[in-house]
Amino acid sequence: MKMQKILISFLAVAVLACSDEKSLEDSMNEAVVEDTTNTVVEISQEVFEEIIRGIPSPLEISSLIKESGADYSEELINPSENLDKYSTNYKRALNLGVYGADLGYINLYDQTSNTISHLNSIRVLTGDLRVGQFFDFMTIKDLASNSNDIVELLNITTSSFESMNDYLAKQKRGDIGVLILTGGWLEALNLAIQIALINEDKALIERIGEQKIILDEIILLLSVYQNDSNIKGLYKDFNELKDLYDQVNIVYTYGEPEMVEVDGILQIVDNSSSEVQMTKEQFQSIAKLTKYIRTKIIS
Amino acid sequence: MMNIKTICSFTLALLFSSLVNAQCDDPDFIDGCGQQLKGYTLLKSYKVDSKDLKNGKAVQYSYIFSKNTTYYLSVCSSDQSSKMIVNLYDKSKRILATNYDKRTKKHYPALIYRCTSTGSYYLTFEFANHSGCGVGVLGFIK
Repeated sequence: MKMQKILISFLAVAVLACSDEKSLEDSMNEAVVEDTTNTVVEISQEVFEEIIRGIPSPLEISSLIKESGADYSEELINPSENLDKYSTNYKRALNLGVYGADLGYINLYDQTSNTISHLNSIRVLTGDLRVGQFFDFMTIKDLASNSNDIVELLNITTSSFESMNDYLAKQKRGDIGVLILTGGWLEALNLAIQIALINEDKALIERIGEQKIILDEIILLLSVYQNDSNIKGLYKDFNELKDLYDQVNIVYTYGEPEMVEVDGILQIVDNSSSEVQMTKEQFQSIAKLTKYIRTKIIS
Repeated sequence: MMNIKTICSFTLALLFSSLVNAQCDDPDFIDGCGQQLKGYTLLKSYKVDSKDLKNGKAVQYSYIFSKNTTYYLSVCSSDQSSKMIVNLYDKSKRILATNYDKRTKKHYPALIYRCTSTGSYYLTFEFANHSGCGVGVLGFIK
């Protein structure tokens, strides 16, 4: 009888716990981005999170920069001394993204001294934004200082940023998440542009043109907060950048994919292609405006 | 007595299910799946639980893939009897690949995709037996 009571109590608790979970889940699914700032655009929480998760990592661009043969340039990154300038959450979030993108670039070039100073900036900003719990700074620092495994270092950093972004989206702090993402994307774009202006690497220039696709997604995310007094100006700047990117064409050709098995893993051979059509003048206009917006962000 | 047996069975099933699903929350399980990237750099991880799938349908994520980049997509299921299936679609939602061959019933643990056209791609995850939990990890290499 005692056992029966314990089991019934257990089940009662379990049922209650399940019903709580369900209501939370339902409310998450049904939630829309709150209209706290008289915003015009409303997208569901689900779509909002999906767009954020779909934005490529700045690491992909940094990796292409390294592949282009460009030397590491400390002048291109945001100096850690600028940290003191960031006293609002708006600036902190944007520059957390900037420092995060820089960190990926620094790590790829194995520049340990810059890693430590940038990690410190990230530690301060994540602490101020109350998201420091997602970063194991000791491990990251140890990996940066003592390990030759760059992939492991990149993976732990990426994983930390990913967990933080998921948390921010779920905590309805999407504005902070969007700003981090925006800062990171613009920094990576600026890095690529500054390198491409020097080495005129074809693949890098094409990747810069392809950012048109990502910019559209970021503008959609920013539009949710377009009436926020801080984000309003950034949204306007990004729309000016979009006007320039709208002149860039991307032409697609479809080809049937093929699949082959190699060592037990399926490899897909895609026969589709895309081509970016961007004139030198268009590229230079994008370069100029990107640098202008980036200067505003890091100042 | 019969009632106790029923309740016990139900409780055990509940506990087993919780344990299987708890494995997906275990950082070691996610890290273990990440280890399969083998030299690829991690981009995203997708934790999928059949409990969260609406009417058992596949869950969908999108990601902007870049031309001339090779992506590695690995999946790990917590329960080997219900393997996770991943499908990759292009920007027009045409299927590019799946890790499960329905004809031969062969399940591949990973897909390698060399992107030739930049754009939004779609990943869907589901389970062979419509239940279970697992992790999908996406990595890249230049």
